[in-house]
Amino acid sequence: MTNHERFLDAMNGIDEGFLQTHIRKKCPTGADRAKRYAMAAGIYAAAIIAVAVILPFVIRHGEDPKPIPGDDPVVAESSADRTDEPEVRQIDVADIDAKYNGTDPEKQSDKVTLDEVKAIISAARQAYAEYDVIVLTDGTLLPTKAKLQDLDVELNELYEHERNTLFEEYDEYFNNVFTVIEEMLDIRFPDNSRYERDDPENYGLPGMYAMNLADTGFATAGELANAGDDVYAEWIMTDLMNAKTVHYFDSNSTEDETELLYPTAEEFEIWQAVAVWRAIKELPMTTHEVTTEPPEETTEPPTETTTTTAPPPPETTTTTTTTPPPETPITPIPETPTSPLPEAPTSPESEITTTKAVTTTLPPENPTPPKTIITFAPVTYPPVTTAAPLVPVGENAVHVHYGYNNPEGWDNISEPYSPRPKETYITFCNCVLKITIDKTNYLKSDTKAVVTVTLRNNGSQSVGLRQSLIYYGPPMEDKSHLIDDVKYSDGKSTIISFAEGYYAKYGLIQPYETITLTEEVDLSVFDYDAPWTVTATVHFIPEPTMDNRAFPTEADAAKVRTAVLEVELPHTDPPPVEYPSVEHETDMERYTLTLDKTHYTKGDVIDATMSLEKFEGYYDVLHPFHNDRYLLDYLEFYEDGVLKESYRIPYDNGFEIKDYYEFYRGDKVNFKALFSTENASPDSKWVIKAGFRIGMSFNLNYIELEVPHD
Amino acid sequence: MDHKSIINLLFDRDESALAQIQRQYGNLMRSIAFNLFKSDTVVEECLNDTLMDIWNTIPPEEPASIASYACMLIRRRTIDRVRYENAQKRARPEGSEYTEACEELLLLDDISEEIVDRLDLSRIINEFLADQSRTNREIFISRYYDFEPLDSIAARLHLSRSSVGTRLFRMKNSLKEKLEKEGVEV
Repeated sequence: MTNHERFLDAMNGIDEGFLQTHIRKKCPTGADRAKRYAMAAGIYAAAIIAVAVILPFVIRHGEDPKPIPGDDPVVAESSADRTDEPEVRQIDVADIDAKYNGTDPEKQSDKVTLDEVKAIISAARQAYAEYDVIVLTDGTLLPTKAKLQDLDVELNELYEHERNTLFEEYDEYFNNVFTVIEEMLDIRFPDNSRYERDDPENYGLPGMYAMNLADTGFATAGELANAGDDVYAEWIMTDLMNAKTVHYFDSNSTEDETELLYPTAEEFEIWQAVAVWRAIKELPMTTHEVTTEPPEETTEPPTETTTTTAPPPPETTTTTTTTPPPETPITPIPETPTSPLPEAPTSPESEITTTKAVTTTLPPENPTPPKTIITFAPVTYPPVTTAAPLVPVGENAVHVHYGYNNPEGWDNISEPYSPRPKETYITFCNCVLKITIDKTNYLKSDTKAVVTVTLRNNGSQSVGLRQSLIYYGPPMEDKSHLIDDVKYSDGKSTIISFAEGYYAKYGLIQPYETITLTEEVDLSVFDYDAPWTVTATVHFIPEPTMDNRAFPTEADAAKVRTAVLEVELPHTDPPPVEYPSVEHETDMERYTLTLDKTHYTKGDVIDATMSLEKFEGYYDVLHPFHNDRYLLDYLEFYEDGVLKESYRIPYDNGFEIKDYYEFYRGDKVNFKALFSTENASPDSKWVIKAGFRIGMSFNLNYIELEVPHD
Repeated sequence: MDHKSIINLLFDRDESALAQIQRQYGNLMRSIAFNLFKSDTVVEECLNDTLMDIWNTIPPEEPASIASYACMLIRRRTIDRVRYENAQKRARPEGSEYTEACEELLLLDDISEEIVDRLDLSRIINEFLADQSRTNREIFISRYYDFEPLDSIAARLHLSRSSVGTRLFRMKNSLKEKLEKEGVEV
């Protein structure tokens, strides 16, 4: 049993008190919630009163004279006595605050304020930029060689030139600046300094919580989110020090990061630089982008031609990022500009000779590609020709791509209609990992996607593979999963495929061996609004003699290299027709009434749907003096305010809450009714009204919607 | 019905106690099981097994809280089931938060297993949780006890998802440091 499994088992033994608190918090009773809201409201009111009383006093007595900046004699700038050497400017870390902020250590209070922390950060960065050496508290001389402004010049070219050098410089810069900031905060705020929140807090009130978190800007301030809690200076320092780590942890939502880590836009520059640094430093993966053009060499005559017929094989798209083995540095493949692809002839039985991929446009009424003979110009490798798929684009045209294999043996046609603007791949240990999807776009009506994951060894040496980290079965002695970690994800849920049955014998993939995994992915479980991705992971073992079991020795595990390949499954649907609808939303639930047509005429049947969706909390107290617990009450049709037809839902088709927690967050109920307009007058006003029985009061809630008609 | 009454019913061997537990805590228990195994059938099986466990163990056991006791039992039952399915490769518990949680906790595997063997993990976890703020404690327990998804925790506690992730990340590092420190002392 691994450590993490032991840990999860040991969680069963957590303190009873913790568990009970947790359960109360997760499933609060009505009384709990009422109490919490009342307490929060009381604290809030008390805070307002306190501010109103104390503020005038503070304004009258808070006018301490500020020390004059630069007046402090402790700023120690070394002046070189020898004129033949360049002057080395150095400053003591203890003097930076005084120099840039005019802080007098004798007159400062122990209270930590956000503005002061920000000023310290700013001063640290300024001093680092202006001085050559900073003397730390223990006497260490910190040379300020790596300057951010120098590094920024090359930021845009980061992926092309001298990356490794730049990583180190960024690393050095941030380490140094954070060291200075840490020491300055340490000097300024002793251990017993207190950071007192201005506003009381109760996480039961989201508005107040968000306000206070935004005000403080520091994650730790939010962590101790209870009234009366104090945040100590060391917490703030910890946050600053952890900034890099936090960025590394979650790089998906930059807005949250900005809010979480840095109080204002002033720190955006650091954030951006840290993010770049993080991306490069912490994920030392090399990504090469190559264009679709092969090298223009002509040493071999063309050996094959292809006559394309429909339907061609699926389109190939590849994006690979891998970690290179330490002993085999990978030379970046220079990006070459993509020139427009030549137009293929659309007339039947035509011929074309080219060194590039070819594209053509076909009329929608005849989307079959013509019998075009494409001959590729001589190249240094066997020009195995391939026909790429039909790609439907819009309603009026169908584009066809033709292409040939690149030196690595894979199709590389993607421009210009591929959903991915460029192919990105890299060979790793002479292997190529590829994902093929059967369509370039998936509609809502598509229930499945056929995904093919392929690993091919293009080299002349066999390559060792390792079993998946997430494989819990017994060690396999004579075989290893090949592509053992394929994930299909919509960002919220992930389907993991173990690719069972796809093995490399003896844990090796032999020279020129190709092993393919083809799976049908159930798209119905994915959130259509989220990006979908397919990720394949292969663990390589650089030394064939290594232990390739799932849990090798630590020394062997450290040598394993991982190639990760991720491809997006593009999915866009035409915009839906907007039907007349009315929606009312509270902080707990959403009421909706929708019609089935945009316009009605006399005689039409109005198909009205009412729905109730709960997105927060649950109903544990509902109609306390009623035995029935129906959520939907009625759907009615009115003509000029006169009721014409009515469905009483509890009697017609009710949705009863049967259990204490029956209607929970995420639950939704609908009711649909049909209303005839045979007898309705076209000159009158038609209205559909939907009634709900929600909440703790006796009042029934309703929404209504006017029916558009001739 | 309060906790005491349910315990009394169980001590009187009254089967209505089980119905009462299911009515009051059924959804809570189901939510834990469902986070671990996204299958209604399996969840119901685990729920039934848990009710049977409760029936068989009370008496002589007399838990301080029937809710937490039931949660503990169903958690244990479902984890066993997930591991069984994984080991047998019978079915993949797709979308299981267990797999996600395991991946999140892989950093603990850096510590030598021999050291962890010697540690009293439950005591360390309790000490660790006691050191955390209330919100952090709630997040940690929700994630690694209930296996609640991050999105759900974030929505429930009115935090952003990345904030929850960040806090968990820090806590995991802090826990790892604590384990390493305890390991050295042992």
